[in-house]
Amino acid sequence: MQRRLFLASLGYALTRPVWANAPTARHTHTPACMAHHASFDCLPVPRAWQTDPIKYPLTITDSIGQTHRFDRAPKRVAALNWDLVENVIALGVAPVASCEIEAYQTWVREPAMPAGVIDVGSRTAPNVGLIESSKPDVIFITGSQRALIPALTKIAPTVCLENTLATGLNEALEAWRQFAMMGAILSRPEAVTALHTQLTLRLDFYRQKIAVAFDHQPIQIQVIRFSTPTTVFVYGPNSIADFVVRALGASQPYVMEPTAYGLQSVRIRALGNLENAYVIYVGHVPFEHKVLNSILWTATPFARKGRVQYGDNYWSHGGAYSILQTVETIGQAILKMAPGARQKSLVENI
Amino acid sequence: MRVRTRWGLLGILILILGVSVWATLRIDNPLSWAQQWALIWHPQAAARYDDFYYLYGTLPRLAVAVLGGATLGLVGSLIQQLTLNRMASPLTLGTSSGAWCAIVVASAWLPNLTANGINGVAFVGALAAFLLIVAITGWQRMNSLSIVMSGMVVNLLLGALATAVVVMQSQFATNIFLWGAGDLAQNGWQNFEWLVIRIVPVLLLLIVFAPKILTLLGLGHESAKARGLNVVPTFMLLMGLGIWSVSALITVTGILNFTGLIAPNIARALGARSSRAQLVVSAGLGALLLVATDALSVYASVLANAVVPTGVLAAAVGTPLFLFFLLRRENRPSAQLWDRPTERTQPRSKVFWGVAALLSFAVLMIHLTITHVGTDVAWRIPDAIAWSQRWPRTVVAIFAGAGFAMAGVILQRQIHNPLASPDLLGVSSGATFAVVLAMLLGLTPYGLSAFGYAILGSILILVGLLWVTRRLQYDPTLLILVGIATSAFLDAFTTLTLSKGTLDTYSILEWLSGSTYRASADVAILLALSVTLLGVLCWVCHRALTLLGIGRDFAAARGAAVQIQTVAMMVASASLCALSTAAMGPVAFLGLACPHMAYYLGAKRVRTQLVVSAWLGATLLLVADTIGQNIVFPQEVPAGMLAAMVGATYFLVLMIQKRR
Repeated sequence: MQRRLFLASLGYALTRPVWANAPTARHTHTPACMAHHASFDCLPVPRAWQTDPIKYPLTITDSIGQTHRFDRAPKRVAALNWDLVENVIALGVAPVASCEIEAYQTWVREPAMPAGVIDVGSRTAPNVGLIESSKPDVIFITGSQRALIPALTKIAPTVCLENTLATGLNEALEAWRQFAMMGAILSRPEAVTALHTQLTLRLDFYRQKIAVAFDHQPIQIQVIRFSTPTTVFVYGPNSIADFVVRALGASQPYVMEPTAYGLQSVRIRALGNLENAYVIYVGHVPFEHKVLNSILWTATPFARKGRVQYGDNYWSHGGAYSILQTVETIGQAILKMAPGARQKSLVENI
Repeated sequence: MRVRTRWGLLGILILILGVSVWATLRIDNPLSWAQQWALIWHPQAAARYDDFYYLYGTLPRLAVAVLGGATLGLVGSLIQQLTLNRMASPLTLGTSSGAWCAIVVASAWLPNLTANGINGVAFVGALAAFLLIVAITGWQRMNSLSIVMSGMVVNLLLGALATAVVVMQSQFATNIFLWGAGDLAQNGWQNFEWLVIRIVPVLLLLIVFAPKILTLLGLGHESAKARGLNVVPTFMLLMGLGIWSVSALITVTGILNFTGLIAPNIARALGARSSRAQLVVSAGLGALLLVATDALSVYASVLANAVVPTGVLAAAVGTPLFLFFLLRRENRPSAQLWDRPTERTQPRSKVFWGVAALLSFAVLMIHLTITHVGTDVAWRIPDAIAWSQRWPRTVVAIFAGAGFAMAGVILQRQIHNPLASPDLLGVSSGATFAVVLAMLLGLTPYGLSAFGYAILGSILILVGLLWVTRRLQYDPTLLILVGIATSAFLDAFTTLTLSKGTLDTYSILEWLSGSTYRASADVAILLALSVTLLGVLCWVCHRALTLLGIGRDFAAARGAAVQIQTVAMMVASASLCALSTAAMGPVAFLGLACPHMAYYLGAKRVRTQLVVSAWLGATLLLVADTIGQNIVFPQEVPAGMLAAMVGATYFLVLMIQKRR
């Protein structure tokens, strides 16, 4: 009996297809209104967050279902993750406490962290005593810091905003939603409107330039990061990079399920059948030359056609301001790959 | 082995070889046989991407698998013949982890190291690890299980060091884990060519010149010396050549465990007797095993639609095979009486104990009251919020330290080996694996739920251990070896998860390095109660422990129910270790060093040794936690890491001093 079971399962395993065809298209949890044209207006933020001035008392629900009520705008803000502190600074509020400030200035860089912010330790283990000594009026934390809620609630209202771990969310839209929520809590609706305008303007600018440069043809852009000499990270359908690519009128050809953090590690081989793609690799790695000159990379259709471009590094798991940086990086990289761009220099017009 | 079964085994191996090669060339490869054949003869005709991938991805991977497997098999056989120990291999002798640790440390500070640089670093690390193990075990006892045990001790130390480095320099860590998990994927032929130049001459040299020396050494070191062989230099030369080959392989592929352990054992089972036959057959079998494992990992990658490194599967496949060989009659370890240290130790005076107690109390007070004001250190009575943060961490540090130490006392008496550590039972790895799996599945373990998952993982591993060894009267030494294998297996999966490279990786790393940060009030109370309960139970059963510690036959002759008591003691030891690991993550070396320290402080009887070890463990961990929380404020150095390093250093110094 056991032997039969074993043979049956072996047989079943062997009959599964063993060669990788092009993956079939799968549902990607994207809102229907975004099917053709990505936009922030697709997922409207509640009216209470859009009024100028904000009407208090304001009640909001955070990512883990807790409701918080604010009777006035908090003045002293602690933000314990980089995407949250980025939102706070972009709203024009100087935070009083944050985590890993030195590393923030290396990896995220913009918007610049103002001076005088207390560093409360690492993101995985922030120091509660220091947070208390900074006397915040509100604390923003991320999902993986959830265990601290009982301790932090004694200090100040603790709002838990999670973006990267939930695969059902579109990261860009959720980052925007959280930015609008924080803007409402901190009473900065004008900053939210300003960033919205700026994002829409830059998206329109690049979209038109790209349409002209590529002769109004639909193009395929694939955004990746190098991981090891044989693997790369591809940005999935729920990532900010993917949102920006679609907002610019293009699409990513590599089909995959939404993942946590919007990234998936794949072998270079998996990109081998992207015949018409333009590839942008974000950020430098030490072994970059080795990979770019390796045979498995140079044999890919896009490398053969010279459709590979470096994109300036940006923080992939950031807040609303990171969306703007992503737009700049991807927009400029695409324009550098436009036909004839290497002879003319479109870049100077940007 | 009988002739018919030998031919049967050979037949199975040939079948496996055939299937593996077929699979490697067929899975994930849309080219037909004719196309593949044509490409091999006319590589310049490659046009589509799949053609290029076949020529410069699949074929080099197969070539590296063959060469790597042959290297591991041959060097494994070499090591086993040199040490006359059937369970010796690059894994158990710590050379793999020596190379890995050296590479991690070097890469953290020199990220642009060339391949040759990495190779040199790996070689130095592997050699250093091996010499350390020889220093610990001593020349005479290389054919015993002590060297395997020392190997695992060194593994733990180097693993802790490597984890420490990665935790400090977290952002570079992501790509190192995929490589560390053992990856054979290739991008062109340059790696293979690089390996061929460095390894093939050495292997040929070994096959041609080593057998005579190995046959002589097979008579035993004394007999070989009597026959005129200069034992030490030739031993070190041959071992050095073997380690060189393995280091070069590790530079390219990362850590691949078990192949070097299993291939020589199968070679012996097939009937290879002479030294040269063993070397050559092991090489062939190693190649076969690695090709099969690699084919399996390619298949797994396609099924799971993810990157599955070969090393993970090597551990997954290798563990049952290792256990199979371990449990065979000729490999079964014999019971050894505990080598009692022969120096007389002075019983310490009451003044000593008074001062010690006072110091411990001082440490406790410091831990509870130390704060930072700006950049200065101050001592304040903590307010309500700070107090609610501090006391769980203090309680967890104290009771986890006591738990690890007491588990160590029980275990060392059980298996008559002063080098035994409770983490070798595999419960630490089981707890870690359960928590990592929970994080992977999105169950977000925090506080009490993490504690629960960890305990569950440990219980499953313990039950598995007991089930595997039930037919062999639960021999404790065997339990350790099975535990070692299980740890290697689970660690491979944990490394695979770490290679995802996200914020979760850092959380897992933090858990792995043993920190009291996640201590919550309910976990602290639960831990305190259960450790106290188990401690009291062991105190009450001290007579059984003493008898079993002398010898199982001795205990049986005096009427003790040996099997039941062995199981009970093992469960107690594993539970103490599991509870402590579940509360603050794995902490190596406390369970190893504290019983020794207690002994040298004069606590020779079981009851006093239990109490003194527990006190030592608690104090040590408390000191480590105090330092860890404050030395790089507001960042934290995990207490477990500091305690492990202190314990390991103390232990190594002790062992080396004893050699003289």
